[in-house]
Amino acid sequence: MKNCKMKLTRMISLIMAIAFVFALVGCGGNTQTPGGDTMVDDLPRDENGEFAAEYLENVQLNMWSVIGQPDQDTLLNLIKEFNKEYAGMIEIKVTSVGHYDYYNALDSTYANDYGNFPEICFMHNEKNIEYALKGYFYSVDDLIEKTGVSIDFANAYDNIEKTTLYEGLHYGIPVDAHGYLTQIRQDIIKKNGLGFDNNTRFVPQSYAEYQTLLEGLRKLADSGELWVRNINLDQDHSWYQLKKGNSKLDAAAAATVANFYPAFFHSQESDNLTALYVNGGTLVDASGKVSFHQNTGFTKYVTDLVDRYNARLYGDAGNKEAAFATGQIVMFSEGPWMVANTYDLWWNNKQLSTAGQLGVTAEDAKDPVYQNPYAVARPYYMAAEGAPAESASKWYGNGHVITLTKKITSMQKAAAALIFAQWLTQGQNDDGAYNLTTWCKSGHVPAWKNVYESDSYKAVEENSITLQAMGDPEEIIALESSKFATTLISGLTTAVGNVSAQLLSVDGCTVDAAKKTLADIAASTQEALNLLNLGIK
Amino acid sequence: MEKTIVLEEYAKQRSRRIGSAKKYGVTAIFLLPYLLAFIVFFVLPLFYGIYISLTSFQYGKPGVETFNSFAWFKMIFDKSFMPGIFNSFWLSFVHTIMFSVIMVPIAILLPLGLAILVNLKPPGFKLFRALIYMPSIVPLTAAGTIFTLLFMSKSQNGLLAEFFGIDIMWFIDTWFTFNLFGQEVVISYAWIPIFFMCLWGGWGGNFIILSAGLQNVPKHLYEAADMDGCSSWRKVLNVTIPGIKPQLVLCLFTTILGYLGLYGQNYVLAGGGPSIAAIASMPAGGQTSTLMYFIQDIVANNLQFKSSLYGLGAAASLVFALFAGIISGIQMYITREKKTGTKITEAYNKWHAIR
Repeated sequence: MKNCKMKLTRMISLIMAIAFVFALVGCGGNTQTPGGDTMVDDLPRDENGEFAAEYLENVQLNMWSVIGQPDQDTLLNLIKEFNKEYAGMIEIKVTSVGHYDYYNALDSTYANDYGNFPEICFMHNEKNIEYALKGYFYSVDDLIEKTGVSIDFANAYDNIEKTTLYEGLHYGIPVDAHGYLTQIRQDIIKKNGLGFDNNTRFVPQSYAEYQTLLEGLRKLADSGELWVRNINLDQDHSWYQLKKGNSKLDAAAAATVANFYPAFFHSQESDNLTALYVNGGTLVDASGKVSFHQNTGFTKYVTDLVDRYNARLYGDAGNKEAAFATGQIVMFSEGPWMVANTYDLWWNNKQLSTAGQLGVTAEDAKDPVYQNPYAVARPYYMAAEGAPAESASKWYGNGHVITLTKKITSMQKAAAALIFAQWLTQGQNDDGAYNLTTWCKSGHVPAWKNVYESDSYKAVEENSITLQAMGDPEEIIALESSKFATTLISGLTTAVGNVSAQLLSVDGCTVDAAKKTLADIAASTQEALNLLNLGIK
Repeated sequence: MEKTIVLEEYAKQRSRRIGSAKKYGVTAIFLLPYLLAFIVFFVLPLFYGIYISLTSFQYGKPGVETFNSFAWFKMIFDKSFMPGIFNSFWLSFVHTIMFSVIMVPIAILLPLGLAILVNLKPPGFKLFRALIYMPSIVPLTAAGTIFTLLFMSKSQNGLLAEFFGIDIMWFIDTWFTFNLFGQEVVISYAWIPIFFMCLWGGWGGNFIILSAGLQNVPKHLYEAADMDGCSSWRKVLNVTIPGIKPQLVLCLFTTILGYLGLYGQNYVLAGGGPSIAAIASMPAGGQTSTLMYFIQDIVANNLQFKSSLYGLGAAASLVFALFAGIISGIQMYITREKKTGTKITEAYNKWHAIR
């Protein structure tokens, strides 16, 4: 019996040891490795040598998408449509990778698990060239020519298309663009008589108008004469004045009285880039040196942050969305994807046009501005005095791009991927509407002129305050192509973020300290570029 | 006859071989899994790390690297070569040392005190024991959320600000500054929440080890001490602490190494920040960055650094390993079992008795 037990123990040990060895061998994972530019020409053609999508048979492509909710469903539905339309020929399988993990996962998979590397990347356009120069993507020009898939870059907006271009070659197919929008409580501006053009326009269209509005709001708030109201669904919508000691105020209103700020002070990455580009600045100069700190307009944007915070024109009001709804702040900046899906429902709600309930008067209920107190607009106020005329009225926007990775090694797959890109960006449904219009509904302007100018897009735009606010794609300034885009954007964002942090600190921040911070961080970013160049050598 | 001798020899040799195979074969089979793991997960990465630290290795493109004349080590040790890297590495080093010097004694003494108190077995001691250990099972990120909520600013309704009116921007404000070798070192208030999170989450482990040790201190030593008229404090000093020395040494060893490698708490709470303008774009360019943060910024957090500076991360890791090894060696040397005259005599007597 004892012998038997010992034998069993030894057997189990042996089995475990063997299993362990197998497990270790298994750690090697997929043995596929990046293979370079090799492409097998297996494209099916007719007797005339012409290729058509119908000749493809069950070509499957794995695509990684950077899109998260609320846009994810829109994209997935479009891909479902595509798969249906091309059933038996092409199938796109989508993996949604959150934007926090996307590029990290891309690098890790490329290095360690190439077998699972995607064949198509639906990603941000500002990263296109950076990752193309890592050797991940094909230049698509040659593939378009060889497959004969009809993608004409002449229809793309040059200003957006440039994010896919490096040394004259396209490394992706542009899809869309978008920037951050300023959210505005136009009802408060109107009620207090601070609108422009005899109180008929409530969106500031210039630096001077924006400054006047900020100061006007502050002045009225300080004197206890500013009228505000809560526009959140199911709340009391009656107007009240910001007078301290007003016994009728509830907790939210009391917080508004105590900490009213005309605008929320935290700047967004996109706004920082708008401030740089509309004032004629660049992240790096022609010689590749960091130059964002040398631009006068951008420096003014940073020092304005200090001046406005210290003058209580900007402030930290905690949760900006909550503060905006109660009237504690009148403006803040946010991405377009939030607007149509969330804010319309809560803020431009139907209660505001129903007189006699929740404090809504008959006069308020009839007024279109009070019915729709929530407005969005491009940050027109970023261009400081002396900004170049050609850029002053524009704004920064990034967007999305479709890329073909070097995991694709057959011409059939390349053709299938291009057909998908063509379908999404240039394809039309049975009603003649561009498929891209459906995608743009969620808050993006198309990167293609024929789509923007189409009747289907105009119809969609008419019903979307987001698309109306974003306007003409031609007015978007995209990021300059750079293999160090991530480091440069991070440097710029850190500079503004560091000044913002100083403002919140006990010691505060002065204009001189902000300028010094900007210069120091620009120098540090330059050193990071030197380091990366050295590392790459 | 000759043949018989040969057969006997053969039988003996065969028997010896089988005996050896049985004796060492089983040992080898049992050792194999560990040896494989040791070689695959320690020896190979160590040597590969050394190789990477000496070359222009690029993540994702192995095989194209060349020897780079110790460039990564030069960055760490030669200020004139790459001042930003030099400053951020050594500032991280200072942060690591300072935090460990403050944290380690407290992270040992507090659990020791609690273990001694619980070992007195007051009413409800089992509950206390469970409560004291409980924070250790809270995942780091969950603990981070708890401490973030506690230390958030007044405008964000932080609990400390709400309940006690402490209006400090814990993750932004500067606590104090000082000069070290001509370099200004800024100490952020953010270290305070990091300290409390480390203490709260870390005391349970040491507490359990020390509590287990206390169970094994011979009772008769306390009785002897009582008879000699020792006070409670004397008993702790002269009986309890020597009695749990092996556990104390273990706790000291793991705690020192744990805090030299501090990363999770400062990452979760402060993201290594607030940033220091002059080195903001460097790895570990923040006021709560540590050596491990420096390495992580290169090999994980910053994708561009990861792509091209992997060698610097490897070099920093080796320097860190060497430093941690020296500190641990010193600690092991100081806390080694000293061969006193009495012990040698006892050993001799034991040997003599057996003989």
